[in-house]
Amino acid sequence: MRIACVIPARGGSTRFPNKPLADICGKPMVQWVWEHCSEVTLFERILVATDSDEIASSVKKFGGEFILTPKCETATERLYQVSCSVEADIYVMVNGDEPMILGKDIVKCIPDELPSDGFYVSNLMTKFKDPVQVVDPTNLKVVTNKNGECLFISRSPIPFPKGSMDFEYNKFVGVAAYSKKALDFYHNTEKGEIEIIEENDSFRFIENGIKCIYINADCSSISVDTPKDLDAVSKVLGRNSV
Amino acid sequence: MKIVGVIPSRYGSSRFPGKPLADICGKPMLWWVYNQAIKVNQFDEIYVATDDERILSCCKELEIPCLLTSREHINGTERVAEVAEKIVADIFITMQGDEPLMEPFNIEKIINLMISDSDIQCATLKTAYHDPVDVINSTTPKVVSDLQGNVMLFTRSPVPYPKSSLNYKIFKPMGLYGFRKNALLSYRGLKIGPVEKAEDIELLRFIENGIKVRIIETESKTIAVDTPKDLEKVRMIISRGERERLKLNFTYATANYPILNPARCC
Repeated sequence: MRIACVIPARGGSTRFPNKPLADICGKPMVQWVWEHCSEVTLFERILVATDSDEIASSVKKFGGEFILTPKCETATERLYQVSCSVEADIYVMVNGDEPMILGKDIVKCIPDELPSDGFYVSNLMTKFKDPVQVVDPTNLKVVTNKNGECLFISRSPIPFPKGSMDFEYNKFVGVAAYSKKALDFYHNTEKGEIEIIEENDSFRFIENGIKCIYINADCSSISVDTPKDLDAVSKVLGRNSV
Repeated sequence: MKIVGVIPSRYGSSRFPGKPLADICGKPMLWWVYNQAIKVNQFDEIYVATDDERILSCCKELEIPCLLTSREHINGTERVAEVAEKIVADIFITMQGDEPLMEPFNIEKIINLMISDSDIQCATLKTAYHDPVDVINSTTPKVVSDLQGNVMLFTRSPVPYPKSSLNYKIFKPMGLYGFRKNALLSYRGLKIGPVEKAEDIELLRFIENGIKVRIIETESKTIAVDTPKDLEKVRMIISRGERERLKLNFTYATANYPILNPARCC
């Protein structure tokens, strides 16, 4: 199986311009992500996919490979654009705003082999440890069925603990794996009602009744959405590198 | 095709003991529910299913068919599943014993949906919430469904979360369920998952076990009687309706307009 790793990194986040280049303990965030991806030996290639020249030249500087993509509405769409020129059986997406995810966790989204129909979508999640994070709407909560197939993802805290408090909340982690067929489906399918309001790429599949496996990676993850997240990540990564 | 309606009825919750027998304009609440159900012509039989002698004897008195079921069931669907072991039918429809204003046309909607597509194992209805308080209130569940009309999740949290668009309605799942016989018979053997345990919503049993639940949108003015305050509201609505009917009856005495539909014995 040929596996390509893609790090989508867009320049123009309205809330946080040039987010992938935000400094974390002396290195740009995208370099942290790239270095963690480099820990994985299964990857044939690791590519930063970006629409920003500034990000591209930063990647070049630290010795990474980049690919320029047109402006895309979502990270998965950027992955599709890459899949049109880079051949692979599985495309692993590691979001450019997940500098804490390690290589040993990233590989957990990769299947042993492709299903016979060639259609595969998986995503990582982990257990929330901090109650404050569950309530924070920038963190997505994931609910699956007994087979690990995603039922729903929300910025609201789900499920609601009425009948039992015996529940560990699942946190969405920005690492996913897609087969080429899945990316084609994504590209050729319109956004559904729920995807439009919750804004999560997995809905393109689950709103159409397509299985999306969520795997518990049991890892620590803080996705950097705001400068307050950046502070938290800098503290952890700074401590680790001392 | 045989279609059976079931009204699961416990004597009462701790919040409202004796609820199904609460008086509404001279009849117990349960009678009003039954009275709505018999307006549906597609039903071959209708039963109340209870674990309580008081409800059983009240049903006898009112000539409502009633089955005594186990005290061990943790929800209405488990109780109706026991009925499915005793009564032979192709489709079972569950109606809530605390919804005396349930519209017959909505019961028919579920029946017609299940008849139209034999792949549907379980079906239910949803209505849009209009009051923001109901959306935040965790006692009233919310439901989200996919583009094929299958339920993704029932939850007491407000979903979906309107991050990028406000152009959406929040939906309330209704207490009307349709079951294909085999799905209902499988229910008690299915594992109770962590989400059902947390939410305490019975149809999550199917969802967590990968069995699809079909849902369609409708309009409804039904009120679930959870508190004595709800009961007052329902009493007012029903008594207003009864006065209207009496007035009609007085004006058109020869038309033989029924004041109350007599309970039909199945």
